[in-house]
This record gives sequence, structure tokens and C-alpha cells, in this order.
Amino acid sequence: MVSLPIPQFLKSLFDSFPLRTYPANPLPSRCPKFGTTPSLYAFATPEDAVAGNPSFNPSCLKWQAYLKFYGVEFKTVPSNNHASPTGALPFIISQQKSMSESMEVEVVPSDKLASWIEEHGCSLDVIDTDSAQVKAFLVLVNNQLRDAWLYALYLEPNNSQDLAGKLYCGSSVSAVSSFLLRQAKAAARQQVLQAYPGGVLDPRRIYADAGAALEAISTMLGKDTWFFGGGDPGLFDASVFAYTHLILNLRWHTGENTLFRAVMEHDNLLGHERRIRDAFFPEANTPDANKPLGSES
Amino acid sequence: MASSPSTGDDVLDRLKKNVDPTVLSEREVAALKRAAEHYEKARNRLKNLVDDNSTLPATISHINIDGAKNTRASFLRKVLQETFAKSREPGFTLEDALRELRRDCRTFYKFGIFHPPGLYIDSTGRENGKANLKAEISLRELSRFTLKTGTDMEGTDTGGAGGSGYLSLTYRNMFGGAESLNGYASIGTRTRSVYEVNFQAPINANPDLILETSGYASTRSHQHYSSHEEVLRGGKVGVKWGEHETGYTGVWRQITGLAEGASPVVRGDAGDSVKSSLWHTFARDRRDSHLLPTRGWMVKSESELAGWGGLGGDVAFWKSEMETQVAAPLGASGISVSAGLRGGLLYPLSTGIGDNSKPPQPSRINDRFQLGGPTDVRGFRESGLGPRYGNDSVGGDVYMSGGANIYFPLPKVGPKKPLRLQAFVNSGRLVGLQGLSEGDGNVNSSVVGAFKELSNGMPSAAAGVGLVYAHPIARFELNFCLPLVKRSGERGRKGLQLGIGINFR
Amino acid sequence: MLELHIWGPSFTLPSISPQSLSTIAYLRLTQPPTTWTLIPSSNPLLSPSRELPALRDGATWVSGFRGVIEYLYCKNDSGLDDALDGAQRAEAFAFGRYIESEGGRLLDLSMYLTDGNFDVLRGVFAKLLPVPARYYFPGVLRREARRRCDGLIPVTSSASASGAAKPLPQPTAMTATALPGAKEQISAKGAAERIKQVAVATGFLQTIQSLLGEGRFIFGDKPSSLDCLAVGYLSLGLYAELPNGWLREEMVARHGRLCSYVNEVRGRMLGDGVDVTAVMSGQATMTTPSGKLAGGGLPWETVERKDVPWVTGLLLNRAMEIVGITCTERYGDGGDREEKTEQMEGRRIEARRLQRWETARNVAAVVGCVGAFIGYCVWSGSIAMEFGGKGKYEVAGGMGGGEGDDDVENKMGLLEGFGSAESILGLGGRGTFGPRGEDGRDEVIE
Repeated sequence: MVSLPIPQFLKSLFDSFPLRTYPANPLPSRCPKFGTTPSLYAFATPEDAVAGNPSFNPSCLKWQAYLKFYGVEFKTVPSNNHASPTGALPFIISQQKSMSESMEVEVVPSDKLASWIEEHGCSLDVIDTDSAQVKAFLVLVNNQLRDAWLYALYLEPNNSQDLAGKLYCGSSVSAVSSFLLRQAKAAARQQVLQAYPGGVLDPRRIYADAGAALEAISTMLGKDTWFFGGGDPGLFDASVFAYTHLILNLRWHTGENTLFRAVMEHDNLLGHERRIRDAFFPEANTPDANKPLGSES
Repeated sequence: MASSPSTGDDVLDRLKKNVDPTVLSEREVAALKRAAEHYEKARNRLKNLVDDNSTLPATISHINIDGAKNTRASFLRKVLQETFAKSREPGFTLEDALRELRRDCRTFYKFGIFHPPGLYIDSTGRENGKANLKAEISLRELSRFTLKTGTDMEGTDTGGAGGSGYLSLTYRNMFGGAESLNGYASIGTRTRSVYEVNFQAPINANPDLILETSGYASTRSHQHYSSHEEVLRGGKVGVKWGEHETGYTGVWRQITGLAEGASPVVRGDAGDSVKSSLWHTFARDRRDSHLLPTRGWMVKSESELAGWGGLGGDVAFWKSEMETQVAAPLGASGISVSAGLRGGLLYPLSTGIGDNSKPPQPSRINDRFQLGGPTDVRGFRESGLGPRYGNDSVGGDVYMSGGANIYFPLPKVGPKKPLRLQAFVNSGRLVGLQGLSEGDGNVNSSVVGAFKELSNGMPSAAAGVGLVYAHPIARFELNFCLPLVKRSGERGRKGLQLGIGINFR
Repeated sequence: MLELHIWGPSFTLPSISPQSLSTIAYLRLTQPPTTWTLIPSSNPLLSPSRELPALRDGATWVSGFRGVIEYLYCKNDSGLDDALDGAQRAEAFAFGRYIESEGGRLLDLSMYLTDGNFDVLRGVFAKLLPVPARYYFPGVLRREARRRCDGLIPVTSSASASGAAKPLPQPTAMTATALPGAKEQISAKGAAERIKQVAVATGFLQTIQSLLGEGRFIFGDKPSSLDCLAVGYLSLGLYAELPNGWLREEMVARHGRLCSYVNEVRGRMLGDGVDVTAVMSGQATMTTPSGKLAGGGLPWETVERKDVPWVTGLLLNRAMEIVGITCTERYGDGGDREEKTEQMEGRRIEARRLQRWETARNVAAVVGCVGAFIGYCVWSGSIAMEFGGKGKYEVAGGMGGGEGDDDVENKMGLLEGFGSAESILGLGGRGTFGPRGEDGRDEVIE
């Protein structure tokens, strides 16, 4: 817009409008109120979020665990991918000042979480995550283990209906949830197919690859308390825990629990999972309590 | 007429005989004078014939319908049923017959599948002392398929206006019962995309009782005031009768595509929700023009009951909106005034029944009201009123707004042209329900609190002067406005504001 | 005799695919040269998992680098990694996967997703594939590469990380418009892209270089399966002559140790330079002017070309995939033959039941919709009008109404009306309605 020179008296007259300004309207009830505690937006049931229990999504659980390792205080907010700035959960919203002082908030997407947590937490005796070994073993977790997890959760027919459908695609209307589940299944399929360029998903092969990965991870842990001989658990421990804990706790269907059996073979991984659970998620379900797996159907 | 095959008892001959010869000759002279206006003459003659023979007992023996080749016989018969029934009643006269037949023609026209119908009447003799009438209604069907494309203007705030292009295909008279199937697709900037399939059918061959069902998918951008987009997929069934319309809507809403700077409020509400609701609308419009009313009044109400009891869905509330407007001319000067008042309330309800019952939940951003804008509360930006978080207008559960305008015709242009100078003052309040958290808190006391808040201090208000032009398709306003009262954070607009729209408040 | 089917040779290397190269290296190190042959069939349909490399031993097919080494280990009861201890084996596995994943993506980026390079690749595939497939395949491979590299160079973020993935509409897409200084923008974009590419490459190459250390091979003096993988992937990065050679330049300029390692072991693992034309025309044993074998000393065998059947098979396969019939379940079930316990049987039945239920629901929905449509037609009478003989007569007779109360009388009245109308106006009902004179017109309203 062209700015015309405005006579001084008109300008001061203008500036006197509005004649009266009241304090701001208070926000409606549903709007989140932030204290100084950062909020981790993650996949979680509302009950688990309140109790501080583990999320049912591996990447959310990984960061939950990592936050706890570093002693960062946070609260979990149940959310979904639509809410995230990157399109993927989790992310953190933190506010330095209280709400009344400023509405400025900081949104930390998942790819910046590691440095944010390390900056805000206490100092730990962990190994360098940039080391070649950690990188290589992270690939095992993020590829082989993740593919098998996705296959077991989304593409095994019974699991997808009873686990993925309930956890991720829950809606009060069954048509909507089945549409969402179909979308999720297609996405999971697409994801797993990346590693199998022939376009054929052979569950035996997927589970065998994951089994071999677990074997290698277990060998790597050996008799150590934490991976790679760290004095405190680090990001790799969090990554492994996120999968092992969920694989052990989900109520897989009998016959579709290959992944569960694969984890059960490695005592040191079970011990690792238990150590982290006891130390950081004391309220979480224990795998033993869930022993009769998938037998409800 | 004179040459119609003469059976001695021809009703029209009888009509003629009944007429006084002098009157007849006078009329004939008049008719000759207006020979060129055949249509007028015919009308006039009929009028007089009817006037003179209005009490002649008559019955309609049959009605021939011509030119409705795609329309079902049973459907046409249903329309004519009442006429036949009445024609059998004793005391049915020629005047009644004409009125009935005209009504039938109007009915046919109202279905929207015919060109204006023609009506021809003849007599076939006498029976039991009654004139036996034969009528013919000549119909011409509109083409069955209509394809329309065009562009729409949308958005009204300066700088924020958008546009869209649309394509619509209508299949009229689908099964020969005035059913119509309409497919509509539109792509634009604000309303990113809309796809809709709509089926309408008159119930019981009554053009004033329409059953409507539709399914749609749309994506709308709310980026300019609250940093998100909303994707809707749903269906609707409704019945329209006169000024009322009522029905059921089931829609799956998805808040997605959040802007980088979206506030936590929007992030909190992002994702899926399902609304299952019954609704009713009522509109009575007695204004002389809805774009630039100078006299008359209008009342509109919308109510919606969502998710309550067995309706299901993720949200449960009662939502009502009411709007009134009055306009009156000030003498013969061409100056007129109009005033409007409207308000709305969203009352959270509990969901489910029995053991599944959940306490009332606070409302979501896509259910709450938004207020403000050049067609709404002038002097404020679009959705510039009410609670805000950062850059996002988060909406409110209760609102009230009112305004008054005075219109002056422009000198030299005069009141005939739809161009006016206006001076206005308008105000509004939009507040959210307080003290309801997930599942606890008393809804009633929150609502009372919200109403108290409405009257807390002066409402946010603005005044200004401007120019109004009511083009047949939309109303244009260019105003100079100054906000008088506002709440901190509310986005007023100081200076010029352009408004384009169909519904001005 | 073992037959190793691979993607065909290119750039003097025996294959264009890193997995094929690694497998060749493994076979060359473990199998006596007379016991296996190399067939550049470039036909992924051969293997059950539709992948190359694929090894055929009599009637048995195994595919992929890991499939092949596992099979050979079972067959010979010995392998390259026998000398490694447990921790080293775990490491070999992890780093192998790392090379396959990260190295694979790096090669995807360099070969398929770098402007200019892909065109060269098209030419390479043209030498390897029969006519329809040579136009079709490179595109497919590029699409796959793009999917794998999604998020590596963060142009668009995707929600894939969390499983319930769904790409989001990006609000920025709307505002992105062509700017006046487009050329500068592009070159700036190119530079930025290059920086990102190099960053990705450095991450990978540094890791491998630190893994390699100073030894001759990764684990001391003897080659392991991990060496095969490393050489397979690195050699393609180093020797592929591409117009936009950022990967190769990066290797040569800053990762000399890797280059010398690959150069040193190449002859032993992948043979000497391969003459693509000679190999493809079955003249692998011919000597080149420089006195070397055209086939680089590898046991090449000619390709049995069955172009038509396999191209048809491929297209059929794709078509089935598009329609939604995938062979997943089939292979999944077939593989479980040996562990066909009751449990597995029950699971399969359950799965089938579930699938049937879903199909039944879909069918029910369709039937419901069609039923509702037909129901409406019947209710509204349009069907009866079409098929009812009497109805037809009514139509022909024009519209009318009778004095009678029931149907028969109605029809009678109608017939009367028809007759009288004809007598007065000369009308034949609306079906045969013709132009008529003024005489028929009495009064016109509206």
C-alpha cells in the first residue's frame, strides 16, 4: 500500500483509537496450559500419558527413555502425526517463561531432540554416538528390527486388526478407523518394501533378518550393563529398549509373535530391558504379567 | 375457438351465450383494438369468461400432458391427483378448475426440470349437468445434463482474498421423478478443494418437500487466521420443506497441514475427529433485497445436536445460532437504516449412553465459533475477535454481535441505483467456556460465566463510513473504519477495509 | 554347477548392482572357478523374491547377497567368516547392514538421483535389457531409489519414521512461485545440493575408513564377507564413470585409504576390467588388444534370452500388484512348509478367515449400495414403467385421470380420455404428437 504523508494531528488522532482496550480474552477450556515443564507430544493413551508410562510407539518411547536417562523433567501429551511440525512424532513444546508472561513457545522436532535433551539434562557418562560402531548397530535397530516390527504390527492380519488398529487408528467410528488402518497398512508395506526391492514380502526372511540383528545386538551387549561399555545408558540403549520393551509387552497373537520369541532368546537383552524399566519406568507393565500372549482370541 | 368442432353443448358456446350481447360487442371491439397483443387478449378473454362463468359447474375429465417424455407417468399423475380429486367434488366450478390447473403448472415448473409450462383447455361435452373439461398442459423438459464451469471469488479481507474454479455437472430428472444428481468439483486457494455428489428428489411428487442426500470431501485452508487446514469427508441426509430444513450429518474431520508457527492450541486439536449430528435450520426472509435491504426483516436460526446419546462420534454438543435483521426506509428520501443482531452458543454435552457415557468435553477448534471480518464485524480482521494464542484465533463458544447501518443514496446517482454511502457502528464479543477440563467442571456454571463475560465491559466495537455497491452477484463495500473498543490481542483494522460477499451482517 | 544370475556388467565392472558385485566377490573368494558360472541375465523374475543376484543350484534358487552366503555356508559347511570370533561376527553383520543401507542409499543418490547421471545409466541398461524392458526398468529402479532416499536429503519431510506414516500437504507448496532470478536460484540450489550430497558421502566414507583401519582387509589379513560388501559398494562408487562424479571425486580427494583398498583387492575379488560388449555377446574369453581377457577372468556364461516370456511375466506381475493381488502371502506360506505345525495352520486359517471377512464386508457394502439404488428405482416406479406392459400402454395413451377409484376404472377413464382427445384435437398422445393448428388452442395461460 502506498503510504501518504499524514498530518501530525490526524496521526495522533488515529493513534488514540481504539479508545479503550480491555485485557485479552482468556483461552477456551481445551487449550493446553503450559508450565515450565516441557511437553513431549507422543503416541500414548491418555492414561499412560498421565501415569508417565511408556508410549506404544518405538520412536516415541526411545525419546521418552532418553529424556529420563538425562533426568529431564517432562510430561507426555497424547498426540498424532498431524500435530507435528515434521509430520512425525514425537516433538517437544517447551516454554521458558510462565504463560502469563509470554506466549512464546519453543517447538523441538524429533531430529533436533538429541541435542536439545543433552543440553537440558544432566551430564552423563555415555559413549560418543558418532562412533562407527554405534552408527552401524543403529542401522540394525532402525532397519531390520523396525521392518520386522512394522511387519508384525501392521501386516500380520490379526495383529494389525487388534493391535495397530486399536493403538494407531482408533476412532469411535469403525468406517473411519478401518480407512485409517488401511492407509497405515499401505504405508507400512511401502516402508518395509524399501528393503526388499523385489516387491515380495516374505515374513520368514523379514523375521530372520530381525533375528540376526537381535543376535548381533545381543553379542555386542555381552555381559555389559549398557551398550558399548558406557557408564550410563545412552541413545543406543534407548533405541534398543524402545523395541525390546514394546515387543515384550504387546499382546501379540499366537502365531504372529515371532519377534517376541526372537527377543526372548537373548537373556542379556531381557536383562537390559528390565534394568531400564526398573530404573526409569517403575510403573510400566512387566512382560511377565502379560505372559499368556495373544491367548485371548 | 370459434372454429373448434362444435358439439351443441360446447361449454364455450354456452359461455358466449350467457354473455350479454352488448357487453360482448364492446369486448370484441376492445379485443380488435388490441389485436397485436394476442397473449394479452387471450388472458383477458379468459379472465372475463371466467369472471362471468365462474360458478359454472365443471369437472375435469382428463388432462393431457405433452412433451414430458422423460418423466414418469406415475409421477405426473401424482401431481394431478389432487386436481382430479377436487374436480369430482360437488360444487367444483370453472374457476376452481382454472385455479387448480394453474397450480399444477406452477408445481411442474417448481420441480426445476421444465421450461415454463403452457396450459390449454377445451370442453368435451356435458355430463350430469356439468361441463366436461379437457385440459392439456404442454411441458418442455430442460436438457437432462447441464455442465457448468466458472470461477468464484472468496475471502473478503484485504490482501487475503482468494479465488477458485469450479465444475459442476447436473443430471436432471434422473429416474423421471424430478430427481437430480449433481457432481461438483472446485479447486481454489482458500477452499483448496471440494468434491461433492448430491442427490435430490421431491417426496411424494411435492416440489416443496425435498429429500436431499450428499457425500463430500473437501479441504479448506484456515492458515490465514489459525495456521491449519481442515479436511472433511462426510455425508448428509436432509429434508427441506419451505423455510425449514432438517437432517443428519456424519463427517470425519481432520486438522492437518499445520503451519510452522502453529500454536499449541492448534497442535493440541490436530488429527481426526468424527462429528455425527442432527441439525435444523430455519430462515424467514422478508427483506426486499438480501444484498442491500431497505425494508423488511429477516430471521435465521441454526441448531445442531452432535454426538449426544446414541449419535456417536467424537464430539458432543448442542450448538445454536440465531440471526435477525431489520431494515426500514426513512421517509421518501431514499435514506434507509438497517440493524442486525446475532448470537451463538456451543453447549458441551456428554457422549454415549449408559456405561459408555462420558462427561462433557470442552470444544475443539473446528467446532468453535469465529467472529470478525469485513462482512461480519467491520473494523476487525477476519476472525479477529475473540481468544487468541499467538497468531492463531482459537475461536470461542459463545458470541454476540450487533450492528447498525444507515444508507444514503449518492447525490446525482439517486436511490434507484444499488449504490449507497453508509455509516455504521458494529460490535461483537466472542468468549470461550472456562473451567472445563477433560471430564470435570460444571458446564452450566461455565456457560453462565461466559454469558457474564459477554457483558463484562463494553463489547469490542468499531465504527466507520464507506461506500456500498450491491452487484447482482455480490455486495462490495469499501469502508474507512476505526476500532473503538477491543480486547488486547484482538486484531482491529484501522483505515480502509474492503469487503466482498453475499451474506453481510 | 552353480549359476549366479546378476544384473549385467557396466563401467568395466562385472555388474551394475552393488549387491551383485559383492556376491561375485564372495563366490570368487570361496568357490573354485570351475564350479560356478556367471550369467548376466539381468532378470529379477528368476528368483523367488524377484531380486538379483540369484544363485541357482540345480532346482534351488536363493537370492540376495545374504541369501547366497547363507546357502553356501550350509552347503559347504564353511564360509569366509569362519575365522572371526563372536564379537567380530556381530560387528561384521552390523557393518554389513550399514554398508547395504547407507552405502546403497549413497549409490542411489549418486547414480539414480543426480541430474545427468541417470541418463548415462539409461544407456547402460539399454545394453543389458531387451527392448521393452530397457525403457521400463530404469524408471522403476529410479522410483525405488527415490523412495529409499526419501529424507536423506531433506527436501520434503515425511512422516515415515513413526509407522503410521502419512505425507502431509505442505502449506509452503502454495506460496512457492517462480522468482525472477531463477537461474541464480538454480545454481545456488545446485551448490546447496552438492554440499548436502558431500555431507552424506562423508558420513558414510569416514565410517568405513575408520572401520578399515590400516590392515589389508577389514579384519586383519584375511578377507571376510564384510570385505566383499565393502568392495561391492565402494567399487561402484569409485569406478562408475558418471558425468556428475561427486561421489567419486569425494572418494579420491579425501578418502585415499578407501581408494587404495579397493584398487588393491579389486583384481582378486571382481576380476580385471570387463568389456561389456564382449561379455554380452558371449565372447568373454576373447583377449583384448592389451592382452587381457575381455571377461576379466570371470567364468561368464552366455545369457539365455527368453525375452518375450520374461517381459510378459514381469508386466503381468506388475499388473497384479497394481490390482492388489500380491504374491506375498503365497511365498510366505510356501516357505513355512517345514514348520507346518498345527499352530501355523490355525494362524493361516485365522488369517484367511479375516481376509474373507474383509472381502465379505466390501462385497456387502457394494451390494448394499446397488440394492439401495434398485430399491429406489422400484419404489419410484421407474422400473415398473420400463417393464410393465400396461405401463407402456399408459404412456402411449397420454396422461389422464379418471373418475374411478381403483386402477381398472382409472385405466378405463384413461382410455376414454384418449379417445375423446383424439376426436377433438386430432391428437395421438404425446408419443405421436405433431404440429397442430390454431384451432386446437383454446386459451393459453402463462
